[in-house]
Amino acid sequence: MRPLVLYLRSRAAPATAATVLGCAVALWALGLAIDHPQGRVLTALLTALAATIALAPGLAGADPDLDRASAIAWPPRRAAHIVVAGAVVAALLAATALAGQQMAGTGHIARNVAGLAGLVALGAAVLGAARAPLLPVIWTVLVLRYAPPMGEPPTRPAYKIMLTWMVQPPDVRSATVTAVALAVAGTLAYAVLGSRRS
Amino acid sequence: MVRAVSAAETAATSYAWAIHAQALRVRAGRRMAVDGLDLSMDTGVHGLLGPNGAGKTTLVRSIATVLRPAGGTLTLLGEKVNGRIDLRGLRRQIGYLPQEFGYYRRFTVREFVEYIAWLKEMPAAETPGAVQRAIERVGLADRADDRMKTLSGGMVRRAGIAQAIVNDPRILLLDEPTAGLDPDQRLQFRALLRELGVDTCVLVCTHLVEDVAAACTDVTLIDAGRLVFQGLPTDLAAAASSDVGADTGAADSAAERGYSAILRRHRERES
Amino acid sequence: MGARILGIELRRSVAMPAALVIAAVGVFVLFASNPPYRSWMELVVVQRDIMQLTWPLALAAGAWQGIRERRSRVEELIATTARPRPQRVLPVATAMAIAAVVAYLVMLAGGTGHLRHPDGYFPAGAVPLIALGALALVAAAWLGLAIGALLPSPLTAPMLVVIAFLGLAVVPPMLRDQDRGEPGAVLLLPFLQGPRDGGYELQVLSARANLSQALWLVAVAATGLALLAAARTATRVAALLPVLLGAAIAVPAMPRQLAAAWVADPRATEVVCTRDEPQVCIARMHSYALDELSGPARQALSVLAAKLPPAPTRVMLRTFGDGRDDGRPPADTLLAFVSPDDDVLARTPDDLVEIMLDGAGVPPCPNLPGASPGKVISGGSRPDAEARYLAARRAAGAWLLDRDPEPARAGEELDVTLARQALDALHALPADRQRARVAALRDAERTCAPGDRLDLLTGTSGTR
Repeated sequence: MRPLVLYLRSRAAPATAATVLGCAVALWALGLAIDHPQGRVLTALLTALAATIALAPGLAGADPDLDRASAIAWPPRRAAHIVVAGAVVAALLAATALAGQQMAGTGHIARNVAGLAGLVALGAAVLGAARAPLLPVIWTVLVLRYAPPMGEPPTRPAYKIMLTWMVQPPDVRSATVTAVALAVAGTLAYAVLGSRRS
Repeated sequence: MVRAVSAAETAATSYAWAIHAQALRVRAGRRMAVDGLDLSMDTGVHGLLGPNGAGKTTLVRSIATVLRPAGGTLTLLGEKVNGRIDLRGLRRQIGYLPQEFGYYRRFTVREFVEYIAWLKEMPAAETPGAVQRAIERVGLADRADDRMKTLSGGMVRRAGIAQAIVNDPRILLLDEPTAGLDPDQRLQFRALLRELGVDTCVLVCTHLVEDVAAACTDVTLIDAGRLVFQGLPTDLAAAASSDVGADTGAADSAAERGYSAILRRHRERES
Repeated sequence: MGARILGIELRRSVAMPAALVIAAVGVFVLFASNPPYRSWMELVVVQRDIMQLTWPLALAAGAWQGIRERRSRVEELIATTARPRPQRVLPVATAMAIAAVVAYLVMLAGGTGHLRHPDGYFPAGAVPLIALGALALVAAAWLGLAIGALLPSPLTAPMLVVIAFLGLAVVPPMLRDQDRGEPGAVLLLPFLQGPRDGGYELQVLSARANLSQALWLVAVAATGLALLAAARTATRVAALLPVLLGAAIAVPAMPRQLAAAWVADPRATEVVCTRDEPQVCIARMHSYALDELSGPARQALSVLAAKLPPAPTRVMLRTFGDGRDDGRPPADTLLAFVSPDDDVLARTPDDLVEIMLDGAGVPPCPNLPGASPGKVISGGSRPDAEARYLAARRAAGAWLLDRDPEPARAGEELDVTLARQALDALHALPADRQRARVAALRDAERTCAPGDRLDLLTGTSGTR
């Protein structure tokens, strides 16, 4: 138990938890304030994004060389880190549904958090922990500007649905597949490569 | 090479000491790290020794005007520091190399030294020449236009020394300046120190007693925030002869043994 | 401040890379989210509209730069230097400001590649819009710098993007009133939405809206800079003063409703003419088409000269809704109308001749039904009186060109059927009688005499 506690403290888990909690509270509060349906979906997505990128700084230890030189096997631990962290974020955000009106369904939140967390992990592997949020943030913001969440039926070509997976309604299969693929790819990349040192 | 002096400096100085502390007390976090220290230093190279936690770095930081004294008086270049709001004039004449030297990784050496020179309000016309001089004096002339993130640890340290001396300061504070320097560079650095000590008050805070013995004109030893010993390096070595300690061996230098002896005697006296 | 230090900051800070990223993202969105822009005004307004996206990015870039001191651990060293903080932050603030302006202008330059007519009318009213857009980006960069210096966490920049985007994208729809549109206070937000009916070419933002927005943005920028330069808590709180003052002054100065901020641009509908014969005149906003128009104009005039003398000697093309009420055209002018969003250049020369000769070169009469036939309600067809009027004009044009009326588009079947009937009736007559009837139609149109034009052509009521 103690090694786990030390590990969490070394990765600034308390600060991250506080941030994620703050995002969950914000989600609940905004849920009370906004009743425009598009606005609710948009806000839910952006809050999920904020909560997920809070995980980014914790993906790298303070000294990459020290971690690299250690005897323990990192890949399974890193994979566990991102998976558990993502699950906790999703659970916290979905729990706001218990406290008030749901902005977006549990499946919707879970899908978004999974895909975004995968992107954060991928970003950490490619760009380093400090710059990891760039990937999910720029993608989401571009999608939101270019194709705002209209709730249109998915009659558009498949690649467009995959590119805008985060704003698709929860029952669209290709969007869910994309999110899962991103989650898996990100977790694998992060587990194998670790955070790129900047 | 002598540093450039201004007319104001060649006029007779109205103060006796460059650094003068009386019953100085400085807080570091919650501890009173410097507790009733009396110190007087003028032109020359002064070594500052002491065990870890003795308050060396806190003392240096208070002289650098990073920390404000909590009690006593600190007079730098004839001006009292306590309670002064405007330290600009004083800071223009101070050079400081912190123990944890942070720098802008993307800047080149020349750009970084130039930036610090600008921060110290050096006249713009003099800056390029002074920067070049400083870089040459520390031996980084061939790496002057390389980014600082490409330098090795010792070179970064030397760049730190360059930024400290760029404005030809009257008080030069160097905290662990030789960390990471190879032996040849340390010899060159000692020569630089001797050169600087001719007209500047240099305070070198270090654990490397050999550097102190070789380059300094006098040695100050502090422990637990108080002054323990101030005198010539030869006095420090002389204190070793009367010491028969179990920890020391024949290969340990006289200066180190003397340091140990003085410290032990002081602690025995205190308790 | 030191030009050398500014140069160092420009080279080594995040200013230029951030400018590149923001410009690239902006150009991508400009191209990808809209079909080619029909006018400069549309491009300029859309570039302001996408500030929903680029403003948060600029904020984040500022924040990324602002955390530099803490991240590099240079704070202790800098604390021992002489220069006071306001002077110290000036070079980096200037560098970020330059980067913001450059990013905005490069975005505009890139966006001109998506302009349909780059040599078209560039309204003077576009300049304040561009300037204020650049100013808004500068304000974002400075605010970001200040926030980054205050909260030097690696999460600051991405969180700012999310929070700012949330604010910009979610707040306006909440404030929108279905009937009256957004309140004028929406001008407080850096991005700008175009006029509700999309008539970009004809409108500019009023001076009052521009000035109040400029005041507000200057206040925001000043607050950002003051926050950055503040060293103590007291000065930081004082730094919030400009933004409060700015809001207090600017919000009452803004127009009540956003729709009221868009005013007509008189210069856009001013008429410019070619210099050589035959003289062709067109609204300034379509001036890019002047060259292409001379061929069809010449053809139309020659047709009229041959078949229906005395013919006009110049051609004028105006737009529906340009607000000019000049009455009927003189006898020497062939006047035809196009709608504002019509891309004149996309029409074939035959199309243009047909437009010109519709109604024998005389525009529809305002007092008769069918005067503004621009928009057809889909799924319905025109009321009969309107259809007859338009059919008569169409038939006249077809007679002049000696061809059948164009195949019907949706809703125009009745027009075309009637026109064909009238044309057949006309062709049954001897040539001089045909000419007389068409001339009668033209005279009736010129004076806007009441009466059924179709009857004029088919001779059911008092012919010559």
